[in-house]
Amino acid sequence: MKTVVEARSLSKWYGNILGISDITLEIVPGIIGLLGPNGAGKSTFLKLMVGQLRPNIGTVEVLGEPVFANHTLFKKIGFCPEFDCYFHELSAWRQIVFLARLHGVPDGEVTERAQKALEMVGLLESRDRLIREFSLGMRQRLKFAIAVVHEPEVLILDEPLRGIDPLWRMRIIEIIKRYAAEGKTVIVASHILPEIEALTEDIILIHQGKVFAQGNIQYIRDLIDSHPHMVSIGCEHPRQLAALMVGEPSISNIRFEESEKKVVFNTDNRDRFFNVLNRLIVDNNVAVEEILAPDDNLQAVFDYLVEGH
Amino acid sequence: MGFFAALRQIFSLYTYRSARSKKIRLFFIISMVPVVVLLVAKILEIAQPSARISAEEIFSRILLVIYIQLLLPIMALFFGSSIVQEEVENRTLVFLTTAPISRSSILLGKYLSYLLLSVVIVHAGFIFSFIIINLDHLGGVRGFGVFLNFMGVGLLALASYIAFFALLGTVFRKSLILGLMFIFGWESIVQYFPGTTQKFTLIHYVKSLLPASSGNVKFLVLRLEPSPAFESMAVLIGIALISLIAASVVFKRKEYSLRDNLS
Repeated sequence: MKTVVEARSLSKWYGNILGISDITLEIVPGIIGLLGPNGAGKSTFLKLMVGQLRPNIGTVEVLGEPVFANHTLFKKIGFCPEFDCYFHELSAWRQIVFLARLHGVPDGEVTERAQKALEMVGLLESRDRLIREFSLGMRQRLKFAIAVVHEPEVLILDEPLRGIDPLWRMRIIEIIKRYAAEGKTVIVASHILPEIEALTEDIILIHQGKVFAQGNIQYIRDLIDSHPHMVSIGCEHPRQLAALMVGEPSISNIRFEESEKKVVFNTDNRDRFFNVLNRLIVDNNVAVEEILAPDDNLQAVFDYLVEGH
Repeated sequence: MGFFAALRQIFSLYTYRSARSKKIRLFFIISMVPVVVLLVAKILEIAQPSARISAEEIFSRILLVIYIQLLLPIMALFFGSSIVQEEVENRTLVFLTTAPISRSSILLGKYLSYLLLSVVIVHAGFIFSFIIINLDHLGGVRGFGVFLNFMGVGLLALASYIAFFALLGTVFRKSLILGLMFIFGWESIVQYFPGTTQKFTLIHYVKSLLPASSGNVKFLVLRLEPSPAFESMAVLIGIALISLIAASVVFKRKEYSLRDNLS
């Protein structure tokens, strides 16, 4: 399988602050998930891949060509940045048509491609509305449409599902999968594991600017499941819920946050804990307001792994 | 996409956007203030023909100074320095610089767009002034050649100032402050230095192109030792070209830190 992205000893820092360090990897067609907590270096890596940044050390090539200051390559790359970056006073239509033209879409196809891209993300009916009137979710979807309007070979998406409602999240996941199924390459960065899980099994873990691991997503899922978890449950009667759970062997500690009507459990077996919790809540008709698992994220896993090393 | 096709796209979009922007409206309103003052002066002149100072004199002694020394460089600063900086601040630079177009076409497309809009604003002021000055003798207008000269000078001055400030904006993050220091510090003081020192300002060459022989613009030659017209034009065009080339080179090679880079 041909290599689409090739990084060799790639390093980037901002003054004294490390962005990424000594990353060497190859990416082939398909969907690859770039996982890491906030500040891990994911966006830096993506920006190096789209020529927004120049490497301090090492090289990065996309489709066999160096990226920085090589604008002809960008016809084959679609980039969806993490942050909002629109001409807010323009309509969605004017913006996507302008960017489609800039990306070299032939004049005769611009309208059709722009319509197709907006329709794909459910914004065709809102095409004449100003972008500043769009919700966050709509702006995110527009950004995705802009990234794909010129049908690039390599699609690079930085937190593409941020702020999108669950229904559209599922649809965009399907669109990305279809895109990859056409033989194209999609690189998706996220700090939310379930988002990446829904897209692909191939992941690159980035932490503190380095590639921590690369391979199947099951690896990270196993790590999450096996490390100690904290689960916070908000309900009207937290002591009643704690009393129901107290004999459960998967729980190692229980404490209360009385002021906020919360009970916090520590568990060594996340799956078993949630099975028992769900059953007790249903059987005893406990009115639960919220369940938060702050450890169920990559930062917690990375902290856990780093402590363990 | 080819250089000129990209330039055309950028020029079209930014002219469309900017023509509707608050910045343009504000500058247009400011540029009309001298016109209103001139209109009042002209009405008074018509009402009281024996007045000691005519509207024409007010224009050449006061209002032209406001245009040439104040409005024009400030407008050029706001437009020129924003060519790159507004894209950095709005984070729209990422869309432009990940498109398969040369960065020079982005810079030049925006430059031409902003030059056009600023020329329209300044020339609108000149044209209205010209009409007002000739209100009482529209059948036989006078000073048409002088006004054409003003308009030509305005175009050249804007072209060189905007290019110069575009270079500043491409290199420095705080280009607006630097530009204000340049206009109100360096240019304001050094232009009055005797000898060749005054030639290190842009305003020297702009003023050198004004009709210095006209009795109406004597104030402009105060302590000015004008350079020849050809030399002044060559310097202004040269500064515009060199600034644009330098800005393009820097823009092509420079990394711009958007607020989210550390992620």
